[in-house]
Amino acid sequence: MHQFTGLTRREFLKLISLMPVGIFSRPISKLTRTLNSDIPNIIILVFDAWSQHHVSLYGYPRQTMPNLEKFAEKATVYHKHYTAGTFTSSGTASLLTGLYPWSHRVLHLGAAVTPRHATHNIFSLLADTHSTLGYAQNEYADQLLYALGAELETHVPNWDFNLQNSNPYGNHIFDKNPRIAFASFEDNLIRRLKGNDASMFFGPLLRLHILRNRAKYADLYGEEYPLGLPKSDEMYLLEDVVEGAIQTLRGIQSPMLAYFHFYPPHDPYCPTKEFFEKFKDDWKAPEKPIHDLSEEKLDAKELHFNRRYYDEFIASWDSEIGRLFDYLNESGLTNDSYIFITSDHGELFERGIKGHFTKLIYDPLIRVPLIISRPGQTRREDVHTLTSSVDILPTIANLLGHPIPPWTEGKVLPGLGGLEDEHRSIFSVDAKYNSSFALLRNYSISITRDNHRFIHYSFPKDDYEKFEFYDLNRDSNELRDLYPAKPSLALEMKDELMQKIEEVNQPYRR
Amino acid sequence: MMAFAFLESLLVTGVLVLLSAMLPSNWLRDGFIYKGLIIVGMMSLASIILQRTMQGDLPTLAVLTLIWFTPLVWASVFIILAQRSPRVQSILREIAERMSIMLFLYLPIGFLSLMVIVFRILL
Repeated sequence: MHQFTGLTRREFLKLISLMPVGIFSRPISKLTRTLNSDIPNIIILVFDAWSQHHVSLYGYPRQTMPNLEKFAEKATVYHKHYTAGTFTSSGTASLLTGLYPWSHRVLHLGAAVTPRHATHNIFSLLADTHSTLGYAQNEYADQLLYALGAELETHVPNWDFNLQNSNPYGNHIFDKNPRIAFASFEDNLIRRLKGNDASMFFGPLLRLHILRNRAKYADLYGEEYPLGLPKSDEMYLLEDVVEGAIQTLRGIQSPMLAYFHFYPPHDPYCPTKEFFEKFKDDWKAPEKPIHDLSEEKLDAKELHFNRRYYDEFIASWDSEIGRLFDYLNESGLTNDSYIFITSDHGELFERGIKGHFTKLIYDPLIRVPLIISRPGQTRREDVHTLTSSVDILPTIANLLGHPIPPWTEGKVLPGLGGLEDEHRSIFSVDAKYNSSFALLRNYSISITRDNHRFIHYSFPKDDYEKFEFYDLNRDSNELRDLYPAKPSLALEMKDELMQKIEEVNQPYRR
Repeated sequence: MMAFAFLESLLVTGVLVLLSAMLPSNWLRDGFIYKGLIIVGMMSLASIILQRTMQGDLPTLAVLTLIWFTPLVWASVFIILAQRSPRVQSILREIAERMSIMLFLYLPIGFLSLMVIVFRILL
């Protein structure tokens, strides 16, 4: 047998001459990918913090989204769609990876997907057949796009359609390490009006600059927005964001996977003049008791006002996004694209809580819209079985003839090749008080199954544990906790959850 | 963070050195250590107050002026008072010298952090 005896100098030089080929072969392989225009585009539109409970398409009494209703006339509407995470980072990661938060481990704002699943996402899934584009106006979702690196061919910076940009991490000198730069600035140095800056002099100077800019823009556009201009971390105008998206779509090269994550209707709720006070009516949402875990304990009156502003902001957003829907129709993109419209999480206005950064986990927080338009779809279809945000990735794989990745925890959506599973369990997970690298112990988890919801609040850190169980058919407002009577289904769902926790904790046991 | 703090400290020290070179020598250069300590201390206080004030709305020009100039006025007053008291000067010098021990840790770590960032950007 021939034994390897090392390289001669001549052999070494021959090999080293191949190095440039090695260096450039990856970009070349990307450039030579054949883009087949017969393959449909995938366009994903995510509206941040958008609860199904506030959308007229789903029966909300306030007429919040007439343009979406019009768009849905030729689309499939999912009525029991749940997000797997409860805030931006976690919910978006589930949407992009097809994994529950206990697997992708994006348990905190700005966190990254665990290395084990770092390449498991819709962008890498379609890298061979589609050009990829990502835009996330929410900077925490944008961090997930940055983490994709070269897998994302076109990354539209999150401030591109905003009025201002004061993100230090967006500076070109940090192009190679934007995530580290983001974390350093965000956690310590310059927090841009979110607490205190460690930087003694640059911090206040940047604050001064941001606030001066804000005052300038408020003077310019304030009349159009009676409650103030919308802000992600930066001020923006709804019309600019929609216009930016339209212009970006104009330049796409088919087939394209385009992901647009818009900040509205995330708080602050800033309706336009046209919609401000539109819902100043007598309608009131049912009052719900303040929960033990409610951090803010806001009273009903305050929640009522905030709900109204949120609804008016949604209506303002619908009025603008209608232009994008029109563009999708007029440009013919609806004929050769699958268009997904959904959200990363919902919003709560009950039990003393306004918003979504909470330990509570109830329907308005986790039930989000999902509307999917197939190429050339001509009539509306409705799906009433339970679906989850982790289903989007396997559905896209299935639609494009790719094998369903073995690592995904989702299923193909009914109506797009999947089967209706009446007894399926859908999980929604919030574990922001748990380490991403440790056993899952501090969490709020909801299982929805057979028209019932089982919730486990587990916070050993605070010596707090609570189980709740609701019959969603008879009690859609989740007001009557049936768990104290220990019905058999509740115990069955509890066992299922405990088994699941045990299973997902296995890799983290020492 | 250390790299950023290192740069920020260099800048602040640089401005003070520049001022001492530009101003008449008895204003800042003579007794630079205790005068510099007073100025940096008062400006840091101003910076903390400014941060607390600017959490959401732009303060009025009057408030901003007050926050920036009050510490400068106080710094001037303290410097004038310290100039008259050699004992206060020696106490301030003593504090500055004791604090400078931290530099043996802070400077190399800050410099190393800066180098790490520079190499990450370049490579």
